[in-house]
Amino acid sequence: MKKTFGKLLLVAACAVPMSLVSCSEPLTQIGILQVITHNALGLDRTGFIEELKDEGYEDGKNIKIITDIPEGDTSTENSMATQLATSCDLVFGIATSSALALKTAVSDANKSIPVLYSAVTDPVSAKLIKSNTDHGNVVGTSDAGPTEKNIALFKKFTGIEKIGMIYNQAESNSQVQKEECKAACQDLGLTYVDGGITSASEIASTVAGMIGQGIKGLFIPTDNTVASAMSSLKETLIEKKIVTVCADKASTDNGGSLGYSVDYSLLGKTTGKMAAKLLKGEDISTLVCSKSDSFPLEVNEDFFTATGIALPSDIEAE
Amino acid sequence: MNWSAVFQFIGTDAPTQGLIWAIVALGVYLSFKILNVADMSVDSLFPFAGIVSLTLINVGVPALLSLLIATLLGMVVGFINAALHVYLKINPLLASIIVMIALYTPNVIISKGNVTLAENMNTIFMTFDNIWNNMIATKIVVLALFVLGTFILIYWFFGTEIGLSVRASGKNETMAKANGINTNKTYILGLVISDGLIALAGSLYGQMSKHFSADAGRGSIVIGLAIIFLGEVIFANKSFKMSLISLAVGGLIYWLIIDIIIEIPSFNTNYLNLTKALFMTVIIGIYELKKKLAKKKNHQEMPKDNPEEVTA
Repeated sequence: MKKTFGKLLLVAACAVPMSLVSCSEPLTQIGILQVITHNALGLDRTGFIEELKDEGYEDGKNIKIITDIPEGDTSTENSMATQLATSCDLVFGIATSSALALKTAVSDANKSIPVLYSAVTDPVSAKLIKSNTDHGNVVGTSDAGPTEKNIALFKKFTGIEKIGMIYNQAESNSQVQKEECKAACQDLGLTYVDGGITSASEIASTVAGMIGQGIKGLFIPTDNTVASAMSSLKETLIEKKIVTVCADKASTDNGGSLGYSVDYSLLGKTTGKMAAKLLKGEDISTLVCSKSDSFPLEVNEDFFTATGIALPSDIEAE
Repeated sequence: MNWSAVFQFIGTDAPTQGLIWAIVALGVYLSFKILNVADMSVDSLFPFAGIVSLTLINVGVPALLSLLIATLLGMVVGFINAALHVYLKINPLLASIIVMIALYTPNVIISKGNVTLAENMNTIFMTFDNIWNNMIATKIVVLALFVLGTFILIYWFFGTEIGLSVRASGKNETMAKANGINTNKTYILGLVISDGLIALAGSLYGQMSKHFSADAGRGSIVIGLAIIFLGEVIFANKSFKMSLISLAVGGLIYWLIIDIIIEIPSFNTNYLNLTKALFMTVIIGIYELKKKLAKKKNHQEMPKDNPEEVTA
């Protein structure tokens, strides 16, 4: 037993000074929690940090930025959120689960530091905020894409009557876009084919199944799982001449055809501007939660040259 | 001394995480160590219970009742899991994987990807928080009570005749059968209790973090196993009571170590999973090495070993 207690003491003895080191920083500390390493989310984070720098807050000079990435592990995410909430003066959560974890951690620590969020598709239904103006100590930007505008793109091509949507069922952002896509299809007279998957390994077979059902168009929402496996679909989509509309630029480039896409870097910058305002002493209640409002049209020329499908003239003009 | 202030100052949630994962580890211990089966369904059952519990609270069910319902559902899942093996003769590992895959669908349908506690609803922690108004302290106290309750209950149960027969069937099925134990029944009972504990922990976790996503349970069983091995490495004692205590302490130490890793300044969290894997390799390596050494020592002392023995 003596030995056992000795080991326990050792662990405790290591834990305390380590934590003290990171707590005694005199600089304003900004904690960033990003659910998983991912191209779009990374752009969001760098956009945030760049904007802060432009506003005069530079990491290591007058602020200290701590970045934690739990790689999709929820328990670790909560641990990281608690640490950031207790040691930082402002926290920033990228994607829904990170933002929610930070919000809970801050309120549990009896603090009222600002919680910023970005890349959250529907912050109201995720219960992150009540509304864009009634948001307590939480403020940020949503990455909701222009689903309706994107679905309307299919109408510009001749012969597309049936379209499919592929998405991860476990991502609430995709569930939101699924409903939007369904509604848009109904309005535009398109037939909707559901392609919900549970892991990246099912993407290829699900798309093949949908093509078997006769889809001529495919919609890719801002879905983390599908985005990460997009390039594996490239050849099938070209071979079967499936017009693929993507809601983010990276997916369009990696095998999609075209799409009005969310600019994650801009989203991060907008959030960074909010953070700078808060650091300058502005009251959080004066800020308004925003959506991305410019969606540049991205076109993957390779797809159109490879398939011989003509790009509609009005899209070409844009 | 104001302990909650200390934890708040250190900025770690190791005490709360440790307590919840101690219950998970206890569930995994029952299946993995006592029944000798790797129960993969934990990975889906943990979020399932959290999602069910939060959804029930959101529609107005009291927090404690939602906890109870989620636990009972977990026990039903445990029964199905065991029945697949006992009645359909499916390999136990495969049976648990089938259950894991099947549970994914209710998780997605109920949560629509992500479930969050509604604004004006109370979790079990908030109900108690009104007493002294410090959330971190409340969480620790409430969870400690749950851990104490479940551990005492499990200790008592596995000392009764029926509990001992469950342990005997896991240790040596043939011998247990020879002694007139219905090993099918004991297998079902063991998994029902094990999965009930996992579900209890999952719903406590959901109520603690106030949100749960459908794919949040990934790796739960691995954390449970890590805590079991960590506990066994720290506590050399082999009695059932000490094993249980080692789980509770192991949970705390596991999360303290993870917290320390995360908090190392300039640690790139991209390396977190590799670090965790290394950490687990070290723990299990030490465990196996210790077991080997102990065997050697035992062998020298008493040449006849007695595999049928069940230590109480």
